[in-house]
Amino acid sequence: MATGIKDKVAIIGMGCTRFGERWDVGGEELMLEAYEECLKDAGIEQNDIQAAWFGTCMDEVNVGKTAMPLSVTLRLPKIPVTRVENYCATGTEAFRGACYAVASGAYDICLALGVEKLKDTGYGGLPGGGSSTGTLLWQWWPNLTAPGSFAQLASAYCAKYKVKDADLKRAIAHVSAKSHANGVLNPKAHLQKKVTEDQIMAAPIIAHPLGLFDCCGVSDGSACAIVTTPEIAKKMGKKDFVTVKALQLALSSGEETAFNDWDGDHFMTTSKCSVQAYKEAGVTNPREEISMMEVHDCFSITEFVTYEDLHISERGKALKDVMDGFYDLDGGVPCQVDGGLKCFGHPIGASGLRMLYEMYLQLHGRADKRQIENPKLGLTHNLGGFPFQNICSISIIGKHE
Amino acid sequence: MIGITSYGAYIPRLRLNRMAIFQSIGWFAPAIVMVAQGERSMCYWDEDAITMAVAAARNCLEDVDKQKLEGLFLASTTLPFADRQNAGIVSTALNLPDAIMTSDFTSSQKASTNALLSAIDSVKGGERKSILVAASDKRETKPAYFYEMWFGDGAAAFTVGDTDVIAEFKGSYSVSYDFVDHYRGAMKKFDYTWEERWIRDEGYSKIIPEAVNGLLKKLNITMDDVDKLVYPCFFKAEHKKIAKKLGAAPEKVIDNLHEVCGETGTAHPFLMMTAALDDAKPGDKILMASFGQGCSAFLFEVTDAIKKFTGKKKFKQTLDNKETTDNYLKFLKFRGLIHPEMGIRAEAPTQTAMTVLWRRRKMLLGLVGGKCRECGTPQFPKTQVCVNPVCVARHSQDDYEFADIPAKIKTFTGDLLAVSVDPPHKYGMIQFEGGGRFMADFTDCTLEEIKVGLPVRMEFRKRTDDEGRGFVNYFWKAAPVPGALEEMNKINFNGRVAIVTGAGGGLGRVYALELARRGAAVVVNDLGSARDGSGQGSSAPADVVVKEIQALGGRAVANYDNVATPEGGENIVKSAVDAFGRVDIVINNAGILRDKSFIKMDPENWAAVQAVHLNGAYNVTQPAFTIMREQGFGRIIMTTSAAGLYGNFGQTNYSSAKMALVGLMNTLKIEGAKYNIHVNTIAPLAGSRLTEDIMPPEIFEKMKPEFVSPLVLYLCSDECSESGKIFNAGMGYFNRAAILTNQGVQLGDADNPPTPEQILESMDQINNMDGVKEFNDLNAALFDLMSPPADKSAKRDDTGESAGGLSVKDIFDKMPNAFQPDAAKGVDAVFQYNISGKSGGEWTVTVKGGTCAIDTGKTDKPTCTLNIGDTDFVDMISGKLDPMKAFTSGKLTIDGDVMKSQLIGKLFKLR
Repeated sequence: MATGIKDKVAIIGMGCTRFGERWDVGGEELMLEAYEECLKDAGIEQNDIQAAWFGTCMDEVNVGKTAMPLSVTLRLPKIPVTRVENYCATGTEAFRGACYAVASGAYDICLALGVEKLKDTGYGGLPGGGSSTGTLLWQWWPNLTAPGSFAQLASAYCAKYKVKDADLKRAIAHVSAKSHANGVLNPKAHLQKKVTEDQIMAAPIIAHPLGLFDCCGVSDGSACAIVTTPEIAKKMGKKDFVTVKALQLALSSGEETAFNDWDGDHFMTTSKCSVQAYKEAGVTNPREEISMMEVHDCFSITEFVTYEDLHISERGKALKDVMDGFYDLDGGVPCQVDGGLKCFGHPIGASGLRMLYEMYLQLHGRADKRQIENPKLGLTHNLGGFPFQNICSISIIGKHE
Repeated sequence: MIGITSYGAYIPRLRLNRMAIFQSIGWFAPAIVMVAQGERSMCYWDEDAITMAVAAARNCLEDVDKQKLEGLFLASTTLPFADRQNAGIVSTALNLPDAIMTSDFTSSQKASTNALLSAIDSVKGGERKSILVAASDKRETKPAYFYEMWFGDGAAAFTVGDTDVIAEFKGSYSVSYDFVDHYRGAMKKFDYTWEERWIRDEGYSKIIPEAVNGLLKKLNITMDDVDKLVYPCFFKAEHKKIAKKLGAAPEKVIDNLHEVCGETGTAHPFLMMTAALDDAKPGDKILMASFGQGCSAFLFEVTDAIKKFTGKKKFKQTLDNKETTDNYLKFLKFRGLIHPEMGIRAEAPTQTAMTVLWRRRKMLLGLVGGKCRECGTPQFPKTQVCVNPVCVARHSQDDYEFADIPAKIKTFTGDLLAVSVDPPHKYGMIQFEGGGRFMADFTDCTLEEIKVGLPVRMEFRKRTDDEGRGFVNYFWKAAPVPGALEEMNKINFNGRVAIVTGAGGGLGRVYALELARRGAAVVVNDLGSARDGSGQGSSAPADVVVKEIQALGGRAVANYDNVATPEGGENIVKSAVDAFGRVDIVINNAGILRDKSFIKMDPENWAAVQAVHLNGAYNVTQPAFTIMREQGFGRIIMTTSAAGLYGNFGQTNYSSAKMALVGLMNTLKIEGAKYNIHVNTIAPLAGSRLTEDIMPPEIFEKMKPEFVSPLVLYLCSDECSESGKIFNAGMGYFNRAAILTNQGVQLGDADNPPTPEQILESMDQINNMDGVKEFNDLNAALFDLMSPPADKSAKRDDTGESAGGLSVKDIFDKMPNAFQPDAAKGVDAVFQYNISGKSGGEWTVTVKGGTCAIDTGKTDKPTCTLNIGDTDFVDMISGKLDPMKAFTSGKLTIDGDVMKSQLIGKLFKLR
């Protein structure tokens, strides 16, 4: 009988680069920047790392295939290194691989590192793949973009809950405004500027009804973690360390896009994945027990419907919670404490680890101006793909008891 | 009998106003105005000869068993592939049987009639029984050319067979000449044409008559035996002349469609023939001829079988489904005649893997999905494992055609980031009737036309032009069903549950009927008592209305409770919840009358009226409000009366109760606002059981409830944004009544309370209703009362001056002193200010060589122009309005060099 991951893995070090349009550096420099901070934080040597997991997504630009970009860049001493790719859950996947490796007892200390260098495409947004995204798929799927896919949540949500377009537009503007307000407090964020709801609502449309400020930035960045078991962490003299409480993943079966039940207004995967995660972490009332979250806010509407899929807002009630400020920094469950994808941008391979980095800082009381009072559990959530076919990953971490 | 067994037509939805061509490029080619009448059809960017042929063929096959087709001939001179059989693409798209003979007919404008003749010969010869013949053309010309005006895009199709013939083939006659009115060399994009006068005189007017007369002679008939005459000729006058030459009366000649469509090339004789068939009667003889390196003429005799097409008007339908545009540049872009920048994103590879296209040809070209034998789920694409999560059967799916199944939009967006020929790129999830869905491109529509729930139909269209490899990709897209949006935009109450009190007759009955007609489930409440509320009550009136609703196909239940008691109110709400599960709408309509002059107004008559009107509204609304709050939706209507709003002799009881309802609304609207509960009050003027015998009959007739109910229905709808408002409605006249407060006057001060004498002196001012205001709640009213009028006027008047007394003119007067020469080094700019409003005007600020000059009036060539209202301008300069916010909110608009405008803050330091 499976017993889950709870308290089997300790995070002993983390690192994260400044995110942004890093015209001056490539993926290799970004990896090293995150790695050096992480190594120092863990207080170990490179040779202590026994195996590594490397997350990076976009083949169209970036560092190339296989795990070699990591092993070569860091000159890792011929150890096992595995590359993982699972769209926007890629960073969390790398973390999951490293966690399972130490939890199984196969290794003592493992590294997880995610990186993405996006700003080498010559245009805004994520790279478009054309016929290289699959020889069959591209012959019949719409020529869709990420904002266009996620924007459709809004049309379906309004239709389902009979919400007026203007009311939803205002609520998702608040979602972005809240993240921008948090991002101002974060020196590592790409965008560190306060933006008002009115500005957000007046911004040019990218994919109806999402405007420019409903979309997260596109940036370069890297983040990483070093993990071991709580026993080894204690032997290393670590106190008050952070342990993993849940690691869950849920992938679409294609039901959303080809069967008839889904209304297009939410994420079927997240809905299930969050229940699994709470179960694994022993959380019975997430609205009360989760202290803070970093959810996948690639677009304001994604974050908005995710509140409901995480079962923190009731179905159809996210609008009320948002407008009540429930997810603001001083609200019931502060969300996007570090500014979120909204302010960090979304270098795919790095995002999941970047979210964990903020939760880790908060749990250690090292989040400076953003510090939340005595947080217990932090939740991170990634959503890769499209509302109609996707990958959801959820992690919960907290202080080791 | 052999002949045409079915027909179909397709004209693209878009029509280009020919005058728009002239207006855009007439400066270059003034002569084209001569043929700039009406409009021409124009393909959407994703249409070509193949997609139009598919559309016309689908229209034709609506009435034919396509499994019996043994041949498909496609005629066109504008086929996308020179070597890949185009007819094969059409055949796969139509999902025709594999055992079929397909062929392209091309390289002459008479290719269509050649194809038809071959089909007839083949059926006659007995080798094949049923053949589909489609003709389609999208002819290209260079811009600003007569032929651009003359041509249109379109397609038509026939099936030829030996059973169910609607137009029997009687004979044909052909002539062939190498008459080169135009030609197009292999690999060339455009035609080369010879002089029109020669084409007209030596071509059309000689060759067509030769073939037609040859046919008449061959069949031993005269023009008198012919009822309809079909032949192309884009010269309007010559088209008529040819008929005259042939001895045909003008009314026999089918119009050449110049003003409504243009000449559709190879397809044109077919398209005109479909127009003839739309109105054909059994026995009609139709003579059809083509033109192009000769001519073929046919005679058909319409049979009784045409009756199954009566009323279908296939040609007229496609002709009438149109969207006219004046956007000539769009026409040029759609046809690839201009090449605007598409961005790096458009460079993504577009190579088609032929192996994949072959394996999945039914899916990609035919929109064939699968249907699971185990669970019956239709799905797209067809896969090895059923998508139904509780089935997941393997190898269980049979072919299932989606192309002709109606669908609705489930989700959508208009994407400005995605590469698109007609931005925004529109796509979303579509859901098919009976199951099956996928993420589809939308075509031939604007974003404004798209809605969740909108019915769509599938169209075979181009996806991409792989120009580098000379390949065209096709797939199916969703297009709005013509007229569906209009139908959808009707206010409806689907899924809503309404309570109407006093609904057994009069206004209440009409509210109930109209709500039910538009989808609401209705609780029809009526006590069934006499007008004064006396008597036992009867279930009859409510039951009758319920039956009426059910006869309309609506849902309703009757309720006979008395609104005047709390138990009655509870029961009414309970019957809604029991029957339909919720309550969205409450119309408090029940009422009684007990008129007496005040002298005779006894306590019983006073209380009875209060109980039904005021307490009744409370008794029903209170339990309903709780449910509405839970739901986050509610619409409540109070019924007041002119008697309450304005007074009426003998109705003290009634008018006081009616006005009390306004008070109830005023507070309820505040308590409901957060929960999307809107409360409004209407004062209806209508004849009903209450008033029937008090009104003169002729006025009573004009005062039908139907002239009141539209407002009430609107106020009950999702679309209603009003709350807390009072409306008069009657006889089709609607207005709003409101409680208004004037500016008033402030008298006395803290130490000296005002005296009655002061009041007397100030009565004019206190009474003065200039500048009245409406307050949303008590706090707003109190706040206004506590802000002395003197302050109020200083805060803002409409002279564009603010508290500090700064005016627009002052600002420009002060500008030279505020100029910062240091910041102006190297700046050479002219700023034009257009300030609107009473104290506005035009000023020009010129900065050059480290100096500035301020002038009133306009300049010819400003670097940038700033447009802003006077008060906003003053606020902006005095620091109350952030310039960036003014700009993003649209209060400030800037034309010209926006970047230069940002210098203004550095050049002038006013503060």
